[in-house]
Amino acid sequence: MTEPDSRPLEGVDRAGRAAAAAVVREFTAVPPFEATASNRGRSRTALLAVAALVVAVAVGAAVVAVVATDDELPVATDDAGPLAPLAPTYLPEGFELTAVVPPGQDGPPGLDVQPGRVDSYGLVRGVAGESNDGDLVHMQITQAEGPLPDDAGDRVALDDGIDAVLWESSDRYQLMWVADDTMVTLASYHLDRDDLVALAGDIAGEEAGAAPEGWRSVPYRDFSRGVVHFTDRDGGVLSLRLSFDLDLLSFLIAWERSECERTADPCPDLSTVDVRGEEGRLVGHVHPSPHLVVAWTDRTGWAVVLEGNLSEGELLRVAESLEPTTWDELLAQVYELDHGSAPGEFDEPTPETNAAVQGLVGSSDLQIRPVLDVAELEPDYSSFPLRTLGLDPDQPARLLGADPRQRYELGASVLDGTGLTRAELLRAESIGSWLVSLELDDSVHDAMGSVAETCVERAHECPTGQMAVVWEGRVLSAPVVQVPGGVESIAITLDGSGIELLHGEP
Amino acid sequence: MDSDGTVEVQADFAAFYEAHWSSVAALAYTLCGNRTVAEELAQDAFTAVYREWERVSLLDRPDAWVRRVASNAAVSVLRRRDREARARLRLIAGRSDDGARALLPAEHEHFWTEVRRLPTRQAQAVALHYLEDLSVADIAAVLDCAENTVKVHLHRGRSALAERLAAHEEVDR
Repeated sequence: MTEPDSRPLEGVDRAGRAAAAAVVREFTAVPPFEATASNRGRSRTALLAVAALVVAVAVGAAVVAVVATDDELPVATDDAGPLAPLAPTYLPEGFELTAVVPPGQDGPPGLDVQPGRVDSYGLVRGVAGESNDGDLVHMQITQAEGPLPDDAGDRVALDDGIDAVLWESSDRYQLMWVADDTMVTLASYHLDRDDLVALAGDIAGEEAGAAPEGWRSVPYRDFSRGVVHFTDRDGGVLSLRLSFDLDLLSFLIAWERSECERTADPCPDLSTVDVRGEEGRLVGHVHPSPHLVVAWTDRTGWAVVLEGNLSEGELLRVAESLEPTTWDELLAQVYELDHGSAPGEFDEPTPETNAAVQGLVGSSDLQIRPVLDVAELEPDYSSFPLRTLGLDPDQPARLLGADPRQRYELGASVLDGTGLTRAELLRAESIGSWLVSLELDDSVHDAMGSVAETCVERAHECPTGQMAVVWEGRVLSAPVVQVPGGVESIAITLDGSGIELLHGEP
Repeated sequence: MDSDGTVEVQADFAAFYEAHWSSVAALAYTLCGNRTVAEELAQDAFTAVYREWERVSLLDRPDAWVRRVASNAAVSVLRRRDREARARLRLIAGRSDDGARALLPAEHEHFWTEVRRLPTRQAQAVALHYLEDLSVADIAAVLDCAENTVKVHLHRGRSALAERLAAHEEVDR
């Protein structure tokens, strides 16, 4: 056996020492440390500052300039809520900031632009279901605001005599009906027209929200990031919502044109307001209720929605006032809000989070899978990974990541909750975060270690060297595995920054 | 507290800050590649230390603690770099950005760029190794892991760097 050639490492060491000396020379001047009463909590926002600055520069360059020309308009500030950094930088002409409402919280009274709507923060509410064959359907249940419109879609008679309206879009059917002051909407990528109508017939006579026979209910995940409300002097309300919602995208595509054509106003040529370019394209506007909606989407599911009880022209004027760069900056902000976490800051997990973590033992909701490939999503909604629920652990899967622009090709699951003996939340001082600590059953130590070894060696079973943590059909994290050998436990950071495979003492 | 909200800093913390700020900021720079961000991260790390000074000052290695905080924050920034890159590039086009401007001569900048391409733990171990000439035990204290693990990270990191730097030299010839 020959000795390894150490010369390349000597060259690296020389380069490293020289590069280190160059860096050290640049940081010799020590700035004063200014401790103030207000710097408590500063580090929480420090990492967000980069993205906030990005938003401020991009949007503010266009919008604040408008504000500066109108001294009468107050420049509102609001440093509460996760969207606060966004609000002062996006201020439509003629409006003032009224409220920043985090996800899941109620806004101030009178600001809901959709009176009577059950959920202000997402278009879909109710249950989603998956059939035993893997078909996916979403059911939206809202309080009915009136009868179905006469001129929207095709009329369809369900089995029990209920009238429904059917929309057909390029990739899915949607069906809507009203019964007992409840409006139900079914939508599916997978079912054809006749199957969807048949399914609606099965559901229509049942209690609203119940999963049809042969289907199982699955929780609907709300990816909304909150709402920013603006008002004008005439009582107009404008709301801006950031969300990730595959259904929102489809709804908008479905309502494009047909809804426009039924308005009394002249139908605008959508191509003339397509100011978003390839990303963040303005896909349409809808009139499902007295409010109007204008939305942008980058076709990977992230959407920015403007809602308001304004005239169509007014809403489009606001929409068009946004600079083309807004989309990327809003996305950067959303990502920061999702994943930004600074060392030393701890938000206590909720009881629900604790319960969910403890429930991982024996559950198949969490899977560990080797990563075969990672790809940037094409800007085409047809490439959506539609099957995100009920993953077969023995089959490869194609899933979105925490960053929805990334799509992961994954191998079969190597571990799920059945291989765990314990799952708990741990406060990790070293990284300023919470960890989900998973203790593995003795019987899976070696198997897990073998897979880790294939990743370290970049073998064909794990050519990327990455192992993905899949939670409820989504890749939370896919770090590079660095150390082979038996694995006794796994620690997952809650901010999505990574996992560590914890081994016995080497 | 003074009328302007300034709080008097304890003398021992001030000495600690004075002694370690430069190396912590340099460490953050090697891992995130932006001077402005690196200085911000260093300040944040020391702010975190300041808030916990009564506890941190009792640790065997408070300097390891602050380096750990800064290096973890720096790699966290690095992870977000790709998804922010597009937005940043569009924004800074035509504008000056002192933080993003190359700080070092090209060959040194290239070295740290390659370090940042390493897996997180390898990058941290390599940066600590070269920047401060820390021993394996000291690096293990900063990264809060076993010394053998540090050895593995260092070996793999240096080997990967050797390959990449050699490939770079080939291209330059």
